Amino acid sequence: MIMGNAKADVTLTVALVGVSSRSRAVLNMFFATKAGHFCRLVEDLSQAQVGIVDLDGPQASKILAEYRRAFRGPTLAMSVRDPELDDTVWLAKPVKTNALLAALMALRKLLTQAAPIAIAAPQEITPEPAPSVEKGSSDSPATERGEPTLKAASMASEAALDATPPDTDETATPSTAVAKPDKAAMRASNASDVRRAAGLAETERRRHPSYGTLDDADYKDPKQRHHSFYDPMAYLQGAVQKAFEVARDRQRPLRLKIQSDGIGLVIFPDRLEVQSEIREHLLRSLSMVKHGGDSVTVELLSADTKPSLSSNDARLQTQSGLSWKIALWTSLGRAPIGTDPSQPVTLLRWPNFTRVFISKHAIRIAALWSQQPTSLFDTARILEIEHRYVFSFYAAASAIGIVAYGDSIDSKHRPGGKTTQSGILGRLLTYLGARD
Amino acid sequence: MANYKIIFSGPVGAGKTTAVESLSDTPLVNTDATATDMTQSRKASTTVAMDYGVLYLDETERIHLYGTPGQQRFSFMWEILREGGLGLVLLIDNSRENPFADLDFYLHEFHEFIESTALVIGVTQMDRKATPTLHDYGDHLRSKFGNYPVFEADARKRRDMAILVQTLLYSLDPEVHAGV
Repeated sequence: MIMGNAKADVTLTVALVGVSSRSRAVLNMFFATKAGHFCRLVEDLSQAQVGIVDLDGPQASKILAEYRRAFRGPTLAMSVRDPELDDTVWLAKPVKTNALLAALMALRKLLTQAAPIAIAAPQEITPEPAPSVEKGSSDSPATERGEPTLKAASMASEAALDATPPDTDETATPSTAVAKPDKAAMRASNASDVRRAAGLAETERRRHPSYGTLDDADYKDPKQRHHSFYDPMAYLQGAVQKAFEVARDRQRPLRLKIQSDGIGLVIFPDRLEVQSEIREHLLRSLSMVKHGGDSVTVELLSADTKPSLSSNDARLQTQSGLSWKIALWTSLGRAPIGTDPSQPVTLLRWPNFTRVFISKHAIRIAALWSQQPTSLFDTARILEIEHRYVFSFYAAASAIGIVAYGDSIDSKHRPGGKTTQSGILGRLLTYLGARD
Repeated sequence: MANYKIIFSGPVGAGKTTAVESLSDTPLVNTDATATDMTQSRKASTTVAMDYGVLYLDETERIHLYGTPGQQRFSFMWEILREGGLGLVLLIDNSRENPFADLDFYLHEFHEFIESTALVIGVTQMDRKATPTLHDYGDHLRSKFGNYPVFEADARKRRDMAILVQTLLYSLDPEVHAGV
């Protein structure tokens, strides 16, 4: 339930773009029944205040480009995978009715510029079990697989539950967030949090890392520099890393109990896999908080314990993938304590970018470090990016052991060429959806 | 009109045709024929000349996508196709008997092209056969060729193919900006 002073008589006009006929029929029904009291579908994009775009259809990129040229308003993007687009709210397919409803209501509030409001978890949405997103499923829209109704993962409920500002203040009392993450996450009290919850302002999203709030000057200011480092062992990151080591040393599956009811992570050292029983946004919240790992406990399991999920279930992931993700969440634009940002760093191996979250400027940083050892400070200068993105990438890469100081690669060839075709490369990158 | 080219290569069945199809803005133009020789055990049809797709950046600029034929008896086409290319996307089928032998063959075959442009490697079928692992590929590459990017890839997924191409472009020049 969204409370506040928004004018209830404003009708939000919505246009559908790139939507299949079957999806359109379902959405027509949705707008006629669930959202008809505050929304209206329009055929003409020029009359719309909000656009809903299906990014999984044929020629989706071309459709999106044309749409962006014609329309600059708020956009809800429906797709199987997060397109990681600026100024776009992502609705994961299959789209849940409540998620679409909450997103539209939040956008209407924003567009009517309501007085400061509070967002509480929608009353009709009950906490869900661990997400049932399946990895490796077809990219074709769910409705084209014969699904007659909209159902499954709820963006809006998760946004409501995880309205904890991503730029978590290091000095904030951590125990509240750790003990009752749901209530802390629901605390959103001003218009900027509305925008954040609607995903319209920044690229950081509810499962994505925050890159912190440090200015570039802080990284070089001797009085502020200590803020650009953190001790992984003081966070959940350290507890997870220790658990991996224990499981490996004991050669037995292990449960890392994170929540008070024992729910957490199940580690399979022989398979180098982890089965997550905890909702991702909660894991993210706990990762960001100092001492978030203090109350975790470890339980060794019998040697014949096997994952209960299929290999294409997103909740079953590689240890390195989880370590990467937790390090990004924890980093907040900082590097692990002991890092020397003025010493050249080299990339030992590339992160598996098709299967891990690609943090901002990650591919560029990886390409640079694979070609020439470069310090964190010089990387920011050469690539003309903020230090927090470099430090975050280093934190994640360090967590999975793929970086080292100096020219420690003993390779026959250091790959990388130079080109005078930066114009075409830039335009092609834009076309492919790269964001700089 | 400015024209540029990205080459997709790799052994038979690695996913080159599918990869070009995933990215192309237009329906794929391919030159399949019924497989006859040992290829038949892997696929019913195989590319005999090339697959062609295109990305339209705007009205005047396009990127040509070329998928080379996988069978070695068509290797004369590879020389023709790589002329003027931006770089190479090499797809390796992890379920084949010796993926490292495939990798070595193509890296030798395209050595000069890679030296002057860029390379990214996508390993397909890892869901069917998990080994060699990406870690193994990385060790193999570093010991023989260099620290080239190698990722797990599903040629049917446009996002995977887009990431491969993005990595190829950033490998050409890490300092390039999107939108320039």
